Amino acid sequence: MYSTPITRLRPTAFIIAIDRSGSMAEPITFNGERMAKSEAVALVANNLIDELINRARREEGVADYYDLAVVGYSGDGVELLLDAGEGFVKPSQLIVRDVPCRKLIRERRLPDGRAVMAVTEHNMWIAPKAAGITPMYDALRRVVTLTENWCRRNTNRTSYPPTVFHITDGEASDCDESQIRDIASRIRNKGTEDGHTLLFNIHLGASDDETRQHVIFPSSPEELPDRKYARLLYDISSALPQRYEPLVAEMKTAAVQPPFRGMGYNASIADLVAMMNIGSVTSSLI
Amino acid sequence: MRMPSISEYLHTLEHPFGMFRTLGEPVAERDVYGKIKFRAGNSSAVFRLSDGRRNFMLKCYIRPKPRLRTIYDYVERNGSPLLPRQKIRPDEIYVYSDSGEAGWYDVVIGDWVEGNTLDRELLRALTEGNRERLSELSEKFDRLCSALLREEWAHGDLKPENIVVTPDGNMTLIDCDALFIPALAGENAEEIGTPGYQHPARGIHHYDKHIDDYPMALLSVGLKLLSLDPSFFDPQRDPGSLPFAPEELLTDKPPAWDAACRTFAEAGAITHRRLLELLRSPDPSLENLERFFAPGKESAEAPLHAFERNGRWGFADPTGKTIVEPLWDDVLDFHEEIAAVRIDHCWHYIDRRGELLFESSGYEAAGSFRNGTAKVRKNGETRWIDRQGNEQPAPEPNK
Repeated sequence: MYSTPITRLRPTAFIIAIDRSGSMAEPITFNGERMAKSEAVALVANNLIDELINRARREEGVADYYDLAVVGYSGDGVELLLDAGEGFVKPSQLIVRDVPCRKLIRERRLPDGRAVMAVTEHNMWIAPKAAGITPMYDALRRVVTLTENWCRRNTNRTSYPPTVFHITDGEASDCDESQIRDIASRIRNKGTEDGHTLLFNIHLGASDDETRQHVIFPSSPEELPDRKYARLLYDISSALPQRYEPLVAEMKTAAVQPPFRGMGYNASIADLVAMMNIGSVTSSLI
Repeated sequence: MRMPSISEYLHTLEHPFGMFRTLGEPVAERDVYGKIKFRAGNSSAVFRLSDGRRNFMLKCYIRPKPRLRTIYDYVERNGSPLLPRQKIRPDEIYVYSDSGEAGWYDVVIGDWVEGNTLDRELLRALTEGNRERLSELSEKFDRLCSALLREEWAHGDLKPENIVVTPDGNMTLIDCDALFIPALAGENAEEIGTPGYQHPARGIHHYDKHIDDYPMALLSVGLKLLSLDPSFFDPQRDPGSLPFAPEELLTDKPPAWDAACRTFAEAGAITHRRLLELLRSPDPSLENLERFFAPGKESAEAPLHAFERNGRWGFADPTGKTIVEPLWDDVLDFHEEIAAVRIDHCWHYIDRRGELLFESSGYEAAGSFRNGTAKVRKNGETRWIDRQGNEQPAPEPNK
């Protein structure tokens, strides 16, 4: 289980579901820079997409080792942010697009101590947005459809199952807890012969307040703060297969025992980066 | 600190000033769009750089590799004609992470190997229907195996993508991260190669000089089969272009098995026919693989006699030294320096080195050579052939 090599003929799938509700306009500090949560999340998601494309680069060009989809949800509804049609795009389709580029200018210290202003360019595959309510249920229903359609394709029958990253900073405004549990269960029940879809739920902290307890990749409910929503996220997130365990164990400072849940509560943007890096470890199966 | 991503290495290479400990400000090769060119692997990205005097390879890692220094120190000290010159540069490149941390990381630098990887050469030859090229690739690969079996080390991740066919026609191995070296004997492997080229039972405890045995045999069989009959190529198969996947070979009836056996039998490809059988072994280590890739032995002047081992036939000299490996299903004694030998249902003729005398699709029956001709049966008809396999009139009966 969770061991099928990822090849051009047996790609895997990554789906990113992003909360773009109004609360995502709240400022947060990322990499020393103050920005809206929506901007930081867009940056992280765009960096992940870039990295997945980079990892697929071979001598002869970019290999289609994955199908990628991004679902955004806001007061304007649920949108497919990479492809409005089927939802999934391949790396070879992305690299021929004209994509806007964002330049980030940061002060950095060179190894010899000198300070320089470093400019890095980042492809903006998706744009940040923060508007209105949180139709999380509708968005996750779209994710169900995406995973179901992907898993049903004969060519994907034996592939490594899809990985879903769900990034939010709050609770749904279009459903209750039981509906969230149900829809998340439906996502996790989709899969291939190599295993079920892996659902990561990452809740972003409300502020930079480091006194608030943040939890990532818990191995038991006892690690969670006494919050109903934290428990909900724990329950609806996938237990991670063995191949993720060494990476999770390495990032957690306390002695911990697997299995770990693919969830974060009150996560920082740096936590988000780390979690998505670990969640995309499947690219080592290429 | 976590290893950098490829994107983070690219940021350093875009602005190399002050970011390398010993390499100065190397310039990365770019594509027509001005983007830095690189090739990604499972755990690294390889760039082609220039320091103003020469081009060289820079390999940056995205996953931790605890044995990197040990392995590349060995490669640098010992060298091999099968490997490009390369060395590790500890703490050479300074990289900033997207989350603001920064640190020094090891890299490997080395000669840039010109040429295409074997998978690309193979695909091109198959697409063009270039059988001569396919034969050439098959022969060169078998020579590579012969050389590799003589080394003290093993590659660990042998596959077409890690073999470069250089412009002079030789084959060079790249990506040494999974190397077994004598100093690591008794330890577990950190990685087990690429599925699709490894025995399904290969585990981390399989870590010795024999870890290349299985992929060598698999690739040798696959390349030979494709050179004999390119119709075995199926572009819908994973991985690469090989006709067999390791898991399939362990089933009761691997797909295309009968066709492959028949192709080898008709071509007299005894080595590859036996290697194909060996690939069905439940054990990743294939015993005595070197006998399949040994160059043709010098034949003794003394008469060779047939001998049988484990149900297979070969030839030895009067001292008992094996001259022709016992791989054949049946043999006739040498006459006029030629012996008839059988593989499955096909008879062929070999010389004293065990080499096929001439190409043919095999005979249903074959007799020994007398006075330069031999009696054979083909398609139900009896014929006489000469030492070149050309049909001859039947000899006059002895009076």
